[in-house]
Amino acid sequence: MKGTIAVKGMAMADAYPIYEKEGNIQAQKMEDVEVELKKLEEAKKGCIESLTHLIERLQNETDKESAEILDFQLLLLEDDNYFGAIKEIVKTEKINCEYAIVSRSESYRSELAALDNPYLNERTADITDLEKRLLNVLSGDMKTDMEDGSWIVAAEDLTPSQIVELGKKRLKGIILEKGGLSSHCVILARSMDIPCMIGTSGALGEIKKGDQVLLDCIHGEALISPDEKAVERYLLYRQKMDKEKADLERFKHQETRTKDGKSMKVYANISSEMEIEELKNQGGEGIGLMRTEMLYMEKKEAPDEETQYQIYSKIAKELGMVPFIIRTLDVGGDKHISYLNIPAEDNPFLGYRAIRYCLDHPEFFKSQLSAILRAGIHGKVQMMLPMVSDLSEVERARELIDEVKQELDREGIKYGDVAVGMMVETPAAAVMADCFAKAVDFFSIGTNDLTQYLFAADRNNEKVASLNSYYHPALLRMMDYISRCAHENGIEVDICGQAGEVEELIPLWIGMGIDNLSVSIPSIPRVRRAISRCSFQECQELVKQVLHLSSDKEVKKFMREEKTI
Amino acid sequence: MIVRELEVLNELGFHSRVACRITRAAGEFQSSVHVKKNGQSFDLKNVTGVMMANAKHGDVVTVEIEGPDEEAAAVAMEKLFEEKFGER
Repeated sequence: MKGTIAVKGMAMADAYPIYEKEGNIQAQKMEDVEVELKKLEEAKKGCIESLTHLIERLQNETDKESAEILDFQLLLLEDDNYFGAIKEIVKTEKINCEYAIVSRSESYRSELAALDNPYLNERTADITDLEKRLLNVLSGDMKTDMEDGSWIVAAEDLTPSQIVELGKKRLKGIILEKGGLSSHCVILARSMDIPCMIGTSGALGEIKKGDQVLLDCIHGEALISPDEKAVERYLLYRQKMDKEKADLERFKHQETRTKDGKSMKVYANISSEMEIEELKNQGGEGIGLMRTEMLYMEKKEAPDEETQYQIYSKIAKELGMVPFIIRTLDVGGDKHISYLNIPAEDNPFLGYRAIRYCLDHPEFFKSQLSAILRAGIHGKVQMMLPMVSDLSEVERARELIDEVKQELDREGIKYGDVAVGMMVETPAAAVMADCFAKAVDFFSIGTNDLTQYLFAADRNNEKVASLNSYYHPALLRMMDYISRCAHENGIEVDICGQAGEVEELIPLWIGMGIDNLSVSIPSIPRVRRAISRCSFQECQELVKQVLHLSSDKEVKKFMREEKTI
Repeated sequence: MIVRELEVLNELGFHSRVACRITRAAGEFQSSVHVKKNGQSFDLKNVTGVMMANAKHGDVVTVEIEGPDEEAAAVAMEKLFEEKFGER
């Protein structure tokens, strides 16, 4: 079975397939048939939505065949004999729609199986898939009740809470039929360092509980009952990793310093309070980026101020007096939140997102600002604004922050002294960094977006993604300029994008004088080790030379030769 | 009502992908579209109907089309069958 690597690594363990809602649905008499029918229609709507989404994605990936298989499910939802029959069962028998779904799916599966046609017999799997899809939408959540042991879980998709619930101890690897590289589940798996493969179509069909599975997220495949050679490959990998792990252990809990004594900090990027424990385990010196999208995306409506305040203050208290940088809502781009009703756009990454949306919806935005300000009394809370491209956006945000403060004053509610920084992730902000540095309290360079905007190359488009090189002098010069502007104005500058944890480039960040690197949790010790091996003075020299090079190839070559000296 | 005797020419017969195409094509028209096979009638506007008709390579099926746009629908069905539903 092949899939897309979402979190690198290898794992070998027994398989544990999770099917949502395992056959515990009982028939219940219902008084109000109309309510059941309405629920059913809602479920249908939800399924159509998710199927359409999936089909679009598959078509983009030119996987027409899978797209057509899913089209079959769409048609089933319009089908008199399937969906229509489910409605009839609810009406005539006056029972819950869940039971009607299970019952009609079951009978239709046997009708198909009875035909002497292998192509049609196989389609029972589609019925099962659609049945689960419907039940899933109806139940709103999935329950897991996993036994102890070490498992490689196979599922259609997992929710973040499921992953946390299952825990790192039991969860050795994750195989998902669906999933996206920036889905919550994957983000969480990454921060817990659990190998994860997504887009593994048919996984639930092939993997049975207790099968020995080798999940190879180096090559992007899962092997059921792996042969000797594969197992050997796995063991070698393990050995290498164990050695590396032991070496990194020393770097978990010490201060971050270069060889010649320059002090830096290694922060963590997080999206949920569930990651704090792991952050502490790995020795994070603060949070350089808390993405708040997850709070908004997990729910059916926006979290109110109080809910947000509780979460932010809980984290602030747990962290104590180390920096806790909260990024205000970065909706849009690839992060869609349905209840905000942002219409689909041709160019979502260049569209109505982040600060642009928030400033247009001041009341909505202010509830988040207020929650952050109030949490400020519990720790070293700071906030940063995403996707800023014009000074007026910072000014407007500051006005709103002042309004919130006045409102809190009037109500006699306490709030903290919260620094206001910004992400530097649009080329416009980078070029104008000297002006912005006077308007905010700190910079954090979002290298993922800055790179794709700088090169005008979509990082999710395979054909152009390679233009997005963190090694390119165009990006490096820009970052050097941002860093100089920050320091000339006496503010700190962090990196919170993926480039910050590319080991080969860390000498350059040090040399540019970047103050802190905010990285994914598992990378913290590795990044700290890389910093400790560098000398600030040498790195400064290095930067001078690199900025004169003319291509990413040259930079790569230069950095590799530099390493061997 | 228009009645057509059409032969299933593609290698795999009415499997799910073909069923989707037939259902989508039939759905374009107001007229009802049915297949008669062994005395049973199957609604081609329902994907399950097409599946249950279970027609295989070489089968000749009776397609009955009835409604205001039956002629256009008949032409579309003939074409779809002739083109092996876009398959081999």
